[in-house]
Amino acid sequence: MAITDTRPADLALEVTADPERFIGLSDHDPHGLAGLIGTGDHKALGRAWIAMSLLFGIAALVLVALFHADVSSSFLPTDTVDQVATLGQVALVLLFAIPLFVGIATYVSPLQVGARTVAFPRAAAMAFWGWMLGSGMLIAAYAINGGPGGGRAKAVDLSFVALAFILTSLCLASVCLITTVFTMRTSGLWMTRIPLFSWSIVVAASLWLFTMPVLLANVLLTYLDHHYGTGTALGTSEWGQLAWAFGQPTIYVVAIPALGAISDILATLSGTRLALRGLMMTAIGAFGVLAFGAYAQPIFAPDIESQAIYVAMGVLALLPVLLLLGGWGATLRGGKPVLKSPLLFALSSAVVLLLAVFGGALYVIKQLELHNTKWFENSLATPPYATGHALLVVGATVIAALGALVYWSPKIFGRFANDGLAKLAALVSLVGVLLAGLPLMIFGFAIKADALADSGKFLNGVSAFGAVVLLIAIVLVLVALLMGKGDAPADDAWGVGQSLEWATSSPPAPGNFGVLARVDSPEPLLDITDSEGAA
Amino acid sequence: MAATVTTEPSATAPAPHTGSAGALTPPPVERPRVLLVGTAFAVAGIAMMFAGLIGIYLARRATNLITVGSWLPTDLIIPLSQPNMGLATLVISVVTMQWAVVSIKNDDRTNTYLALGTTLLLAFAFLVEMGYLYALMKADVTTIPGLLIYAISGAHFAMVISAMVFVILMGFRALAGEFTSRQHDGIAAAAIYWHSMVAIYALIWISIFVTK
Repeated sequence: MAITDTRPADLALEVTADPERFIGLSDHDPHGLAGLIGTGDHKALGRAWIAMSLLFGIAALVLVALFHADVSSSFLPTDTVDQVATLGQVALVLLFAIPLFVGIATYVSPLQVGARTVAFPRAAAMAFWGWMLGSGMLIAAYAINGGPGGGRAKAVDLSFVALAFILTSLCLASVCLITTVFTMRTSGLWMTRIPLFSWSIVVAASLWLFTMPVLLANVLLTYLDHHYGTGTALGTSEWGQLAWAFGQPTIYVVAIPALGAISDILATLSGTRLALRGLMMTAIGAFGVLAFGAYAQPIFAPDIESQAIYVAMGVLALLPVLLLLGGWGATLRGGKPVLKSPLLFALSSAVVLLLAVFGGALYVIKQLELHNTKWFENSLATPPYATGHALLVVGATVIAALGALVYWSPKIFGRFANDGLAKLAALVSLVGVLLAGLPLMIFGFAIKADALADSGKFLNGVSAFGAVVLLIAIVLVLVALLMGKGDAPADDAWGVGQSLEWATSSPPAPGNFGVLARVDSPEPLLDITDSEGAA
Repeated sequence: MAATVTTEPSATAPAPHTGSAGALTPPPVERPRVLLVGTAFAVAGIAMMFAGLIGIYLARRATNLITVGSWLPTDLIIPLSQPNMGLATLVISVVTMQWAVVSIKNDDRTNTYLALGTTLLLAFAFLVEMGYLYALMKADVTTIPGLLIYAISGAHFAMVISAMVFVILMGFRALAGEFTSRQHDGIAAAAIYWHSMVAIYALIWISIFVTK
């Protein structure tokens, strides 16, 4: 009974001699492709998520531009138009906006909470590679005439399998991120003290975890129905049963991390503590609750637009954003803002987000009939107003993510992004998002205003142009990062850092931190500055 | 209140801990409850997936009852004995799983292995019962009820297998001596997953096999 009866006596000594082996900390810097494939290092994984989501983002914006350009001047084959529209929509959300923030969070959140690594490093790696595999399969499936409503049965099946891979992987990544923030915080860093970006990741990842599995259930049933059944099990078209996840209110789950990123950027670059911190955390949580939309699928409620809960949640979503705007304004007023590029990105994102939630509140007013406009007869694509609204929400998220990349560039890339170019990118991205989204929302009023019915081609042309402008903004950010200066910036690269990611080297060494003292407030670095000033 | 933050890169390895008597003791658990919390969130996600599946089943059933007046095709008979036995088997496995948790909390390793083994045996029995049920009911997957029943019960079948794999892995870690009365999160996490799997089956049992 030796090994099964008592705990091996020498294990305690073994743990003491080599504790890292028992806590999964063998995160040596990866070298080359082999290193990347085998790594569980949150920094390498974070960079990989960021790089691939930006690449997919460029492809997604090309698809969005193609679709609207086609509505404007019909050049795509008829059976291809819906595929371009649906892939563009899926790619914007599941291949671009959410994974981009997953990447930033995988890199930054462990640093913000003073952790040495991400929770479940192997699962985090599996999430990234699963997502990559699923994304590749999805693109391949569409390329061979798949996707919802596609012409080749096996390719359609493949696209559902790919979606299942993507959703499962994103759920896995969400579990890793939430667990990191919940369980790996350094001493004294209570949940009420964590930086708002990490808090927004907790809220966002929870919402992803409550929403994506429901979409996965739909994908599973749609796949089985398409493969084995008659295609009628869900009582609607394949895309019709999945589209709820890319519309109001669920689309807001994409934007939750943007709220945290904006808060951190504004507080740091204002050189002051975040105003109304508790209220801001509550507002982010409330926005998350109001973004839950798994109930709003056609099989549960074909007339969802008439239901009070849908209308109420659409209108109430304005409130947390207004509260956050108040908090951000108070922070800016209380500090001395430095007009660096991340600040411009943050402000641009806030403006677009306000427009988006205001547009969302209009969308739920049934009398405006914004649900009813169609692109063309039998079109699968989401109606114009909803598409414009989704573009604004995703656009606000992308602007905030680009700002976050520039803000944390000393930590992530070991150098500052070129500030002038990044400022230009911030303005270009703002213009791009507004041009991409607003014309479609205006076109959504076509049923109410006859004069707009003939302007569809022009408005769609403008929207296509806006998508291209946003794409240019992404390229500008990439160039700004490549042209960055200041090799090996200081630990506190901005000189006014507040949270723990600014207390380690740029970029952080393996293990991230040395010995961290107990944290006594949400802004431990400001505490040090204040105490030094007092002395 | 000032906080001091030191970040010497080489200091990633904590210093060995010395007990009050000066003897070497194991270091404190560096990642308390990581597996437990991670499992709880993973379970929440899985529960949402089943909520979506069962919700669609019930919504489709309600629509059919209103529009057609019936739900299951006349040639689709779902016997109750096997689902009932399945539920009974899983309820007993909840007890044996909890037996494993209590045993490891008391450093009773023999009973831990016995409990984990019994739990696995019961899960295997459940899978056999479900296989037998499938053979008996012969639902047509091309019909809407058949497709939904296979999708939901099949997803649960997969969850049972994943729960078994979880228990086996934690069993091996227990054999390697990783769990004690001080640190038994692995077994507790497997128990959370297991109990959730049983709770989800109870939902399936009432909403599909009993209600039909």
